[in-house]
Amino acid sequence: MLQDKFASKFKTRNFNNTCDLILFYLYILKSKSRQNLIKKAINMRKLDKKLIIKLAAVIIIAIISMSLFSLDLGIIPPLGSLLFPGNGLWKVPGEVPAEERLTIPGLSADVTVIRDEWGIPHIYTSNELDLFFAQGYIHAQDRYFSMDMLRRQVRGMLSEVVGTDALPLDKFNLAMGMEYWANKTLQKMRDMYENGTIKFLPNLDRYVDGINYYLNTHKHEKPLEYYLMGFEPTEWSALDSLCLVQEMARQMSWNYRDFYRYQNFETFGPINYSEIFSLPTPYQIPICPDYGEYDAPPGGFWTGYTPNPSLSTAITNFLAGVEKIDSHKDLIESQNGDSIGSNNWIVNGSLSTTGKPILCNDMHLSWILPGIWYEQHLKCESGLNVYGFAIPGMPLAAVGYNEYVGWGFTNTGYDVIDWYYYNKDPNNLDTKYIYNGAPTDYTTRTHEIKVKGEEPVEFTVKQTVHGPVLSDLRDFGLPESFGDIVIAPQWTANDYYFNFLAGDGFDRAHNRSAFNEASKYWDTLAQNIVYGDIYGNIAIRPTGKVPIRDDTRNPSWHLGNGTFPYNGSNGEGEWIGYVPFDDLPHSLNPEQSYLASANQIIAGPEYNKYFAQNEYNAGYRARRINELLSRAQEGTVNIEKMKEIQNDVKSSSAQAFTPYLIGAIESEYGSSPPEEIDDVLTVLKEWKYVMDKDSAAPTIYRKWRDYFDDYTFDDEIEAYDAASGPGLNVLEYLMREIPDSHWFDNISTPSVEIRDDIILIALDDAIEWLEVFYDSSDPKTWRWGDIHTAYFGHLTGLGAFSKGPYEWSGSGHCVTPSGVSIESGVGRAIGGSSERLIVDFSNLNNSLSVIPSGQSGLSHSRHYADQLEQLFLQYKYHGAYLTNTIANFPTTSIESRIYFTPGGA
Amino acid sequence: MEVIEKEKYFLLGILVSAVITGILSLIPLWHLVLIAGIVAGLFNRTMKKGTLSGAAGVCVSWLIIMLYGMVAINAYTMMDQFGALLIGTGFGWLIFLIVLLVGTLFGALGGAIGSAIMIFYKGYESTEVTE
Repeated sequence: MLQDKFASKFKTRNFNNTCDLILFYLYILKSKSRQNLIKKAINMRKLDKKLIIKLAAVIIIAIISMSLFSLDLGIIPPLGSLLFPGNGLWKVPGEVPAEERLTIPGLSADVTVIRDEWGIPHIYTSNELDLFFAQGYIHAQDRYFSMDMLRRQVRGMLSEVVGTDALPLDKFNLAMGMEYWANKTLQKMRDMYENGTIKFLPNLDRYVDGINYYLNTHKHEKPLEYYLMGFEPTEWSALDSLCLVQEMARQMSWNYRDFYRYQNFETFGPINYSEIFSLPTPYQIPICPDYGEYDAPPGGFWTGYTPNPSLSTAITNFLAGVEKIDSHKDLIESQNGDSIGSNNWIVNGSLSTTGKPILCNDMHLSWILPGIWYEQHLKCESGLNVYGFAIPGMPLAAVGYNEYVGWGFTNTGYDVIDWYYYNKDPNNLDTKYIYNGAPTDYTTRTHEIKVKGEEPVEFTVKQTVHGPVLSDLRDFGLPESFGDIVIAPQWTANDYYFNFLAGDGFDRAHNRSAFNEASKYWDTLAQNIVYGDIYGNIAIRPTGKVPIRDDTRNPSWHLGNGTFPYNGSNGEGEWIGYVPFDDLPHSLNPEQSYLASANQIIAGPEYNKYFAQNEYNAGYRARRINELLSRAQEGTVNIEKMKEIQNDVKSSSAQAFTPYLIGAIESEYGSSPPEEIDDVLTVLKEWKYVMDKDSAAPTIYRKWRDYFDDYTFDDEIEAYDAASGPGLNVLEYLMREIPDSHWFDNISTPSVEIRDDIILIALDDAIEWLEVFYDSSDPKTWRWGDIHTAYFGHLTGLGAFSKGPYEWSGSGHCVTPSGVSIESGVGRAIGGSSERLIVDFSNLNNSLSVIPSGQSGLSHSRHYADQLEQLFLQYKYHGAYLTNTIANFPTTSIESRIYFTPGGA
Repeated sequence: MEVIEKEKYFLLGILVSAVITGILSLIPLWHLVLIAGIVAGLFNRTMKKGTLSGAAGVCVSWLIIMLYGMVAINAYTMMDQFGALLIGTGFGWLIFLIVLLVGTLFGALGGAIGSAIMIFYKGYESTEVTE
């Protein structure tokens, strides 16, 4: 009925037409606006149908296009949210404004932050709590992403932002107990503060407040990496700051060397082992010169050794498993390389041109962007005035100088981690292990790990009396299991540690006595701390907790002192205390007018009260530094000389080895060697052992030396199925002292080779390799810089945010180190000097520093890599402004100012 | 006169669209750029002009925002880095161009939609209906 009325009125019955259908429905509506709606609908019908088709097409295209730019592409987030104005990269923080005024609740007085031309903040306050608040704010402003990632790594929080791929690493790091002991230490510090034992804690809390104030006031401005990785910054805590100390301890002291030594001991056998792994290794110049010198490497001897196949299998499997966790694999590789280490030295007033000491420090760590270190100047009217390097996330300056004293670090190589193995209790395989002959319950602790896009994972860590059980890698999501053997470490970082109190004391110390008192709190992360002051004192002390073991239960073959893993089930190697601070080796104002450490052995044979080290650097850097300083005439050492030494690329290992190569060639061929060898000889004879990137001699030397080392030891390593060969200084010892050593003989050939045979075979193969690699038979074209490069990678691994590779002078054995393998071609050094500092105690404003990055962690900032590109790569430094005030700060050096004013809610 | 009047609306559409695009860029939801295009389209009574007006409005606005971002937060460096992630080093300009073109495309699509709506609406106003 209605349809008929509609049809007669509108002359249509075609209800397949959408417009007519709508019209019809409107018609049957009884609303007041019916007439108007009908009119509109009639007009719609009259429109060109093509328009409707066009509109539909446009809408479809729009939906498809928008969907495309909203797609999550895996490692790359939706392009629209990343690239389009109003989103992603358009919302990252820009450069710090030239002037900014902030009203901050809870501040007690005005704070001024002046950033100099390198973006280095100089914080001026009248109150220390305000000072640390501002330091926290500034650290977050410049470096929050790297702080965030570092604490996430230590605290097992990577899975929360990365997903299940990070679970094994999170679990392993949580099992290591770093967060656990950071938390216990924080609680202990809070108790100590309540008891009035310490005063520092409020400064840490204000530092944390400063970080979080920045985060909360910049929620819509976050670094690009957050957009790329798709997560939000979350608040900082005092626990996070303490966890960063643990991370540094992990990088500096966590290792598996007990196992590698044991593997070598077992496979090579006691006699061979004693020949090439004896302690101390040859040519060491002790850090503390007051305990005599080593004449020759004494051999260690072992008797009564009985192989333990099940332990060997467990160790092999354990190490293979650990190497599947990327960060631990990297750690093992870096510890086995040459680049990790550090240099520090100081000359007294008699050597310097100024009559006052000059102190130098460069710590060798991974070259990453943003850099590890952050430069800053903290100045409080109530007394604190310190310039130095901090790790963002930690208050204070870790290394630097104040108006009275200065200090620098190198890693000691104290053996601060021991590994124990146990049998499981056969009646309670999962809940008990055998300790001291008796079944013993594991203790446990449980962690909850948040996982991106999934339910949280509960993770329980079993612990023996010594430390966390790490042997069953199934616990960490890896497939390996070790049957009945349980492995757990005891590590000095798994204890209370008060390094912040030490740092607080260093920053405030006015003299050696105060500095020593502060050093007593330096627990974990043992360092050779070089010291100088304006009064003319120079000193060094390898500082940190060093365990004393009870080795009375060890079998006769076990060297003790944490050399090899201990049988925990038999009660071997119990820690019975730490070496008293005053009994640690040290040196104050020695006769020789200088002190130097480069990770070599800490003391000579007369330091025998306690055993401290099982391994240390081969000592080539130390030899070169000592050579340069011992040659210096009185009153000749100035800042320029110190810069030269810090950037020295003469190789003391090349100086030791090359004459033997030349000697072997001349001995074999006399005055008429074959042309290709004669060309090489010419290059080598002109060489002064400087590993210059533009020279060819370093390339020839390095390639030959690698082959010489390989051909000397690889045949035995293969025959004995050993883990590794000895350090380069052992090869040097054999080369110099025992040219017919059996180690030179290639045991796979019927003939008996001696030193010079191997030297020449190595040379032939090196030349052949280099001719192919460089596609040239002219040795002069074999530039070192073509094969030896430096690379500064971003911490996410993204090449777009990285710098390099750059052609690079030096080598792992130069004062400026850059350890790199060229076995398969161009090598990239990824570690070396992470900062350089020169402190002039005659005029602290003459002091210099540089970092191989920049102050800002923002990849688009002009201060992201400005020091790297404009200074570090050219061996340059910038000045520091310690004694300046706001009033006399050179205006030409001021890039920006932030004024913090108390107020607000 | 009528031509001038139409031209005025066309330009006004571009201007309003550009302003709205700028305002919407304060909200971290890029999809809203379509709205700016639609608004530009509403000032026009042919789809061609609507499309052009939306495209121009968004393009001008994004160009200004992007140029400002290059100065204020060194955004070009980030585009260069992003280019390096996707293509290779030295392609920041291409990323810049692509972003601008995509913005223009969304503006154009919005403009087309807006003008179509307008045509529907105007069609109603200009047609006599007799029952």
